[in-house]
Amino acid sequence: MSGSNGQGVYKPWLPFTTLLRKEVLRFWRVASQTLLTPIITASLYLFVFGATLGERISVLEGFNYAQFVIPGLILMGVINNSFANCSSSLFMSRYLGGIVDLLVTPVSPPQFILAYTLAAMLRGTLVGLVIWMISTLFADLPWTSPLLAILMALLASVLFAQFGLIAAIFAKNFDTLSMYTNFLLLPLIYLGGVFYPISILPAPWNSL
Amino acid sequence: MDKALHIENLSKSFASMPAVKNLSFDIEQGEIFGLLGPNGAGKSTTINMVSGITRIDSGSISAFGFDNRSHYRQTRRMLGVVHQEIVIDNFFTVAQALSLHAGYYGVEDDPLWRQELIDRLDLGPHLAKVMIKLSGGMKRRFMIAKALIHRPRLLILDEPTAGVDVELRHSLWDFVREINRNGTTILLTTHYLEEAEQMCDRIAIMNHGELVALEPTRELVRRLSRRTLKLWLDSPLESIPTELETYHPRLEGNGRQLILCLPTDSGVSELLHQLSSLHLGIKDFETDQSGLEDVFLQLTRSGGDS
Repeated sequence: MSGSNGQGVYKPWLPFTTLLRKEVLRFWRVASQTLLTPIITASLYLFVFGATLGERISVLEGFNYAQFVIPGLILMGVINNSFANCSSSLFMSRYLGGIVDLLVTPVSPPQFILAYTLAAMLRGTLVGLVIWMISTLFADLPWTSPLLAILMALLASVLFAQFGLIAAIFAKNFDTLSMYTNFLLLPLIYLGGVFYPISILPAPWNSL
Repeated sequence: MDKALHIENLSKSFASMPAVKNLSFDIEQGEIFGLLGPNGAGKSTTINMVSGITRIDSGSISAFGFDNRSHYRQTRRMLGVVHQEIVIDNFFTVAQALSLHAGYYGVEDDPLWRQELIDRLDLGPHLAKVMIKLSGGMKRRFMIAKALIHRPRLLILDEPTAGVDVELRHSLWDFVREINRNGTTILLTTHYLEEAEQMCDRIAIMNHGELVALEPTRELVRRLSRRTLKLWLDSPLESIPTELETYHPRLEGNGRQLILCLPTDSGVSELLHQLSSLHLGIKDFETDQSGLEDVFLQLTRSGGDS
């Protein structure tokens, strides 16, 4: 044995980049669940609401229904996947005990949060990007503020990645973890104007 | 030279139940140090505080001169931890996980060192497997390889051989001795007291969160263990001669067996002289010396009054 005692040069950012790489590899290894499934789900929504039912729904606020629903579906993909990436990865790590492998390393809390957040953002934006590419088959989007739209998607991704981390930290079991999805994400999707303009909701929901 | 580990007045409670009480001890660089105690004694809590998993209520821990709270990056780089519970991550193969693990410690993966660990721990045929596909023994080996991948100066082994077969246990201890010879300090907890007796330079025994003994292993065993002399007599004794009271005598086998306890560090000439003058008619005799296991039971049953 050449000697176990003699560490190499310490690179302060390597713990962070390694954790980020690990988190990206994690969702990439199960891409059929983490990327393909949400893309197929969103494509079905596009097909049903954009191409089929959409033609029978009246034009909303100057756009056809497909044009209306596509940005919502993109953002839904971004939000759902940013949340799911953080919550499932961290919760599984806690559940199976792998988290202790990280807790004993020099990875600092800010590095930990940043790595999980960036990986979640990457997954969320990848899903959003693919949904947008598929949506071009159904409708042309009139881009008036593309940078603002991208910024909004990124900010939503950061926000829901943090919610995912919080959910994973506080969830005691799989049931409580799914409560965050059922009571936080689903109401936001169905009451947040993904499928219809919130102006048509009854009070007080239209002003929330 | 800085201590490999310096623990001072360390305390920890869970829901107002004290788990570790005012614990202090040092581990010298290069030694194999055993931390023993019954279940619930506070060993794993102590190890978790050293490795940074559990927050410290009061007191301090430093490794190689660095405080493990104010300089946690430095201390954690110098520690390698093999946890008691098997840690499972089924997303990565053994090879990938080893490579990633070095990075968490801020050092580049060293392929030569990685290969050396793989060879020494016989992980070669299992590199492409995810952890769930490994046997229990292989999972332990993999955890040891992970803990060593960044070349720690202090390796913490928390019950590393729990549930491991005898052959693997022996090969793991040989490996631990080898890395210790190469300069790595070892802190281990184990329930196999015979192994602790053979492996450790010094032993600390905890009970109810407190330190009840801390001595070089041989001294601890010598000071606290007892030799027993069992005599088979020609004819049964009805009462024990008062001359033998100092040897805590007792009679067994309908008075035909006389058992005497001898402190380990005393000679036997006086006893032999007394036995000769008593004309007991000794047919046969047998001696026995208690080991660490008896010392351990003595200390932990008596509540630590050594």
